[in-house]
Amino acid sequence: MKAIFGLLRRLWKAEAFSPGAFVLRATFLAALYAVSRIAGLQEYATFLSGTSPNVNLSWQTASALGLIHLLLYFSFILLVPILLITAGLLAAWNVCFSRYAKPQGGSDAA
Amino acid sequence: MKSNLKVRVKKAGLALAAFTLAAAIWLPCLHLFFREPLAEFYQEKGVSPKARQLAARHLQLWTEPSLRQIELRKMRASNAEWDFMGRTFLVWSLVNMGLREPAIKAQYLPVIDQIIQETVKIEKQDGIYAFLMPYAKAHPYQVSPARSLFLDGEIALMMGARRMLQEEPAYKQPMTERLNAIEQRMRSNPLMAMESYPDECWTYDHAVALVAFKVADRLDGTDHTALCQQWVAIAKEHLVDKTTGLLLSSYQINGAPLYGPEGSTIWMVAHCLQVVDEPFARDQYDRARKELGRITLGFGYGLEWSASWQGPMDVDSGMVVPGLGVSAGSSGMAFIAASSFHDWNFLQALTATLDMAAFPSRQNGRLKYCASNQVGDAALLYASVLGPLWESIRKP
Repeated sequence: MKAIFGLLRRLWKAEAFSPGAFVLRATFLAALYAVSRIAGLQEYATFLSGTSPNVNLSWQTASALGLIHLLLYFSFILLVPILLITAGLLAAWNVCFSRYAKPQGGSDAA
Repeated sequence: MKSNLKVRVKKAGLALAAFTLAAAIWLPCLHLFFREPLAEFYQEKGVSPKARQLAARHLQLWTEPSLRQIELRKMRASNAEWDFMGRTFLVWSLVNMGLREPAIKAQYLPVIDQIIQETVKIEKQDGIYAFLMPYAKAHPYQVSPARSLFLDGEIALMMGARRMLQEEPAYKQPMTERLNAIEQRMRSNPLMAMESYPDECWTYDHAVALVAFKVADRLDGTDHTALCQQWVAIAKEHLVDKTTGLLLSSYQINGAPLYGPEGSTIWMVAHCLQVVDEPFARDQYDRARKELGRITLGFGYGLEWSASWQGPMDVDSGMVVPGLGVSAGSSGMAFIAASSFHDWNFLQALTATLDMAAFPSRQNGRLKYCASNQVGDAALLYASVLGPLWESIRKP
């Protein structure tokens, strides 16, 4: 547990363009998508077919929920992997070309 | 301070380059996570797993009235046509499934009969407007009494398809009456045009009606060959968009074009024409595939409009993704054409898109697509089982 919190703290404190920051963003997006999925917002995606997702809700509200899920889903399948690959590439760069990385303090080792 | 900024800019540049490279790595790979063997969706013989799951969901809707009411309320709130088309696609699907697996057709026949009888009952009670969009009442039909080819053609084909699965004498007369009415109206118009909406004739509905004539010929020994050939000859001469060579979607009763070639129409038209004029159908499919079918990064989709004829986003096109022009309506109907013309590469790419973007939801062996609706799922079911009905109509 301690190790997990330690890792999260390091991620949180990571520089904006460090591998850790990209991992943090990916984790955040994945978590948001998980919440949306668990909350059942997927059902509201039917607004895409022009059908009222839920006749007990207004069209605008139901569509907004569907749109939120849609954006989170596409973030999850498009952005999350790209952010993780980016983190991997940056980490690999830092390892291979540490001469560039070191002078900036190395706080982004995550 | 200056050097600090320089370092930050350098880092940002490096991160941007890494992000771009990551996108270039990931995007072409994405479809691999959604690509399944085609047999999961369509099989030449038997019934594919997805078809079975989709059918299970629809059969549940027709055996549990409360569930059906919820679905119908949702759809009718947007478009009463979809309620009707959801029925017709389901009947045609179940007929094909029955022909594929004769041992279990007894399970499908009661549902098919229930759908047909209930549909006809609603039409009788509430009139043709029960299944049409409200604008149908805005103007009177040019030819009276008001009849809609949309309803007559699809109901006749539902009855005919049911009879192809197993003869049911009760449907012979009502089917013949509808076809006689259609034939009489088509023959009384120089373009063989019959209205679906007031002064609005749809190629889709004519193509469906032509299939219904072919079914009648097969079942009842009539001969509508000349009528069908005549319609095709007129269509080739008057109803084709000069730029694309594709059939127009809709036109006034005097032949004045209303909508040019649309994905949500032409894919189904090409499918129907297969039993009327195979070479013309193939020509229309090939043109539609070129103008309106796309595969990008392994994902297949349909455009609603060709580059030469743009139209508005409407209930037929469904949601259109800006920039890409991906149309939900056209993509859904593209499944039918791709299955029908054995365009396996396109069909597989379409199924990848379906699994990626339509939010499949499985529960107790039943499948639905959350981004779709009952009519969309019924059209997909039809695409996954079509074939045997058309084969039995064309059989020499």
